[in-house]
Parts: sequence; structure tokens; C-alpha cells
Amino acid sequence: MTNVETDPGTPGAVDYRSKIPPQAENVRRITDEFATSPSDDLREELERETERWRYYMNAAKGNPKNRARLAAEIAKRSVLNNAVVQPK
Amino acid sequence: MLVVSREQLDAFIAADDNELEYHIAVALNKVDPLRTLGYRPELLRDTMIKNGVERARSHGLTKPEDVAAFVAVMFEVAPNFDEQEEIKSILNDATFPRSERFYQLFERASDDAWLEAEKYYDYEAWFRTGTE
Repeated sequence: MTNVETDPGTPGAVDYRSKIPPQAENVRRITDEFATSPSDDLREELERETERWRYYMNAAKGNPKNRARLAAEIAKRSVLNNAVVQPK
Repeated sequence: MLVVSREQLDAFIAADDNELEYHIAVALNKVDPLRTLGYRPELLRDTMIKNGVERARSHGLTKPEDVAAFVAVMFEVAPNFDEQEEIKSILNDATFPRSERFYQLFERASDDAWLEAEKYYDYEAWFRTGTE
């Protein structure tokens, strides 16, 4: 099955995979900058760009509907397990 | 036979929002340990998860496990996935109980709707509760 997110040949598709390396470089640059001259603004920029980088990596996996379903199932099961293992 | 009410079960899971946010952070780590690796607690718990909980509740989700599932989808797809038109219409479909609509998304919303929800990821949505 064609992965439309990572197939640049699909009309309207987003090639998330190609966005990962430059974004990783962007995060690395800001990390270095923050290490030498930390500031609140730079920290916010680093957090925003790191989050965008993680989003690209996630999106590059493809099929968001199936991923969403699986994430919801795992999270639901994890929280319900707390009722069993951590009674108060 | 021991009978546990829904309220008691909820209290077993999380006595308050602070505990719920903690359990959601644990759940997110189980979904994908790399997704939020290294995030400051002030960003992850006090902002992203806290606003996610409010966003889930704005759609009528009240059970801790349902709220956690909703927040997990925000991290998996986009914090504003619920703003995509087709997804929004299912979440607002009054012909079904509010608690059921979220899980119907995985059956009723099209692949294209999910692709679009992901495509229009908005970082600023982590700082909104969805009720503004």
C-alpha cells in the first residue's frame, strides 16, 4: 500500500520524511546556541522546534488513523491498569 | 460480590487532576517513549497535558481513561486534530452520546480526514484548551 504522507508523487501529500534531517539540524543549532547563551526566548524556540521535529518523525510513520487508534488503546489500557495496581 | 461504582473506579485511577496528568504522562511514555523524551515537566504536564485534558473534557469526555486516550491522539496526530472538519462533525454529532463519539472517530472518520488533521498540526494548539 502506498504511504501517501511519504510519497511525494501523491497529489497533496506531505513528504514528512524529507523534513526530518533539516529539522534535526535546526534543533541541533538552537541547542548549541542555548548552551552558550541560554535565555527564556531561546528555550521556548528550542522546545517549539524540538516538538516540530518529533511531530515530523511521528507523521513519517504514516497512516495516522491507525496510529491514533493504537495510541488511544494503549493510553486507555495504561490508565485503567492504575485502578488495579494502585488502589488508594 | 464486591461492587465498585464508576465514581470509585475513577477515584482509584486518579483522585484529582494532578494524578490524572501524571498517569497520562506515564501512558504517553507507553505509547511512544521517544515522543516526549526530555520535555520539561512545566511544558509536558503543566501545559500540553493539562490543556489536553481540558480539550478532551470540552468534547464531553469525563472518564480518566477516555481523557487519556484523547490526549494520546493529540500527541500521536496533532494537538488540534479535533478541529478538522470531518472529525469535528463526528465529535459534535448529537445523535450519539458524547462519550461514544470519540471512539467512533476510528470507524467513521475517513483516512483523508486523519491525514488532513495531521497535516494541519498547530504547535500553538498545545497552549489552547479548545474551549476558547
